[in-house]
Amino acid sequence: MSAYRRDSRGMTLVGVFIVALLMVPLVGLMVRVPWSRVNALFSDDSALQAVRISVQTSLIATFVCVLLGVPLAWVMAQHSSSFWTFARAIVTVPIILPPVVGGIALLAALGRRGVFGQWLYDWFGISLPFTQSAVVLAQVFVAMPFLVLTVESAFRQMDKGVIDAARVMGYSPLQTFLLVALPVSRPAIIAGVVLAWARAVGEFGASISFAGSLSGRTQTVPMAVYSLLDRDWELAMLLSVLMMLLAVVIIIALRKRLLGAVVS
Amino acid sequence: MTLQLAGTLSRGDFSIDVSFSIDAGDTLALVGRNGAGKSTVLSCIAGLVPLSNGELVLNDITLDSPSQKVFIQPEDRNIGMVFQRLHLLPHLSVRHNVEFALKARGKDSHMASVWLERLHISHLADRSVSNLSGGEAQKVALARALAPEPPVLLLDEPLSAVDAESRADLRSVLAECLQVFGGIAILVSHDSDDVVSLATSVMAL
Repeated sequence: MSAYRRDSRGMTLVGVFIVALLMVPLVGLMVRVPWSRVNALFSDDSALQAVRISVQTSLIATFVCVLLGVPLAWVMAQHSSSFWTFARAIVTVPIILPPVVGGIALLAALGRRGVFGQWLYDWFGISLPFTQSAVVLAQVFVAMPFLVLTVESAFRQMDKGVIDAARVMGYSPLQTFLLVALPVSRPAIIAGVVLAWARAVGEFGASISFAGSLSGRTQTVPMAVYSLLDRDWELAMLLSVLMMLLAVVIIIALRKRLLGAVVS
Repeated sequence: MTLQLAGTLSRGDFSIDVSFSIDAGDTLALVGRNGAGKSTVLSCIAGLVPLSNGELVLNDITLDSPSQKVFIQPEDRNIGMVFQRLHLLPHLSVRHNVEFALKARGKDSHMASVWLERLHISHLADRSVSNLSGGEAQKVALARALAPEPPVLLLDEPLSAVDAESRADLRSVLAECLQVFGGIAILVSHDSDDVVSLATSVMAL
């Protein structure tokens, strides 16, 4: 006799098989990585600089995403007119776009001779390409949709009555957003932040075409891994594993909040 | 103090004509079958559903009048409301739910304890509202609506979340509250016992 089961044994087996399949590249990396050269990695200046730049830019990018994305998600969740349907499509574009194309688009818009970039340069002497600001901009561009879509869906699923109740109690729409909508949707906001940060830290295509891969200036970990492939294949693997371990540590640290938000 | 409503309310395809006037100290019960628009009337008074035409006036102040292009936002109406589905703030404790309502009206948040005491739920003060029974949650919603001492109190099925046993108990608590309330109260219920023991006048929709 066995306990009541909701799924079939066959499907469970398929699930296990798919997990195993997803682990294939990770296992390959872990087996082949030359652990003995860990010291070389920690004495490689450009690799360490890349880690610093990655952490710095991805955190700033995530902050910008939250600052702009959460209010946008709230506005989008309140409207269903055709303008806002169009706006939602625009917000989603970076997810579908190949990141390299995103980088070229940024260059065309904000490059020194770009549509808007030429004004920035002529009027303020600001040139964005090949700077850390360009890395951040590229990361914001690709990461923003993950935050906006996650948080918007939470705002939409939220009990609208709680919002109405706060208004009747005496809170303005802005106060209701800050004091009710934000705290009630906190788990989804945390999940959105983690997703956006993960996308930002893994960003490669858009940043390499808009910011370049200048060691010590704009080169992030993914770019450093790519450039190490030519120079030192073993070090590239070590740096990849470092990045993977970082991701695992963060997922484990946040698993309750993250999974709680996704499951509930 | 008088609340006067005369006009048409629409929500989607549904529309209803309503006209009544109620004075301070009175409790008007709105009765009628499901879907008759009882809750819509309360939402209109609270400012959550605008009038299609007509006028809503509280003490010579027009709250809603499409012809005069007047619409006072819900937060500026100073109304207390118990929602049918309560809508307590899920991230706050019992005490903080009541304090949240007090703060909105600039009232002393210490009054929360007084109201929890009055409704016999002091022992639940630090409990999360997601861990309450139907009757307990109902009392919190009631405390939250009454604590800021609004001139108008709207009660949408205030006893519906309670099982039959505690219903009589909560009904007498509510009756006490209404007796000392002194403002304008409007009650929606489809339980005739509630209407008989709580209301001073009845209107069928």
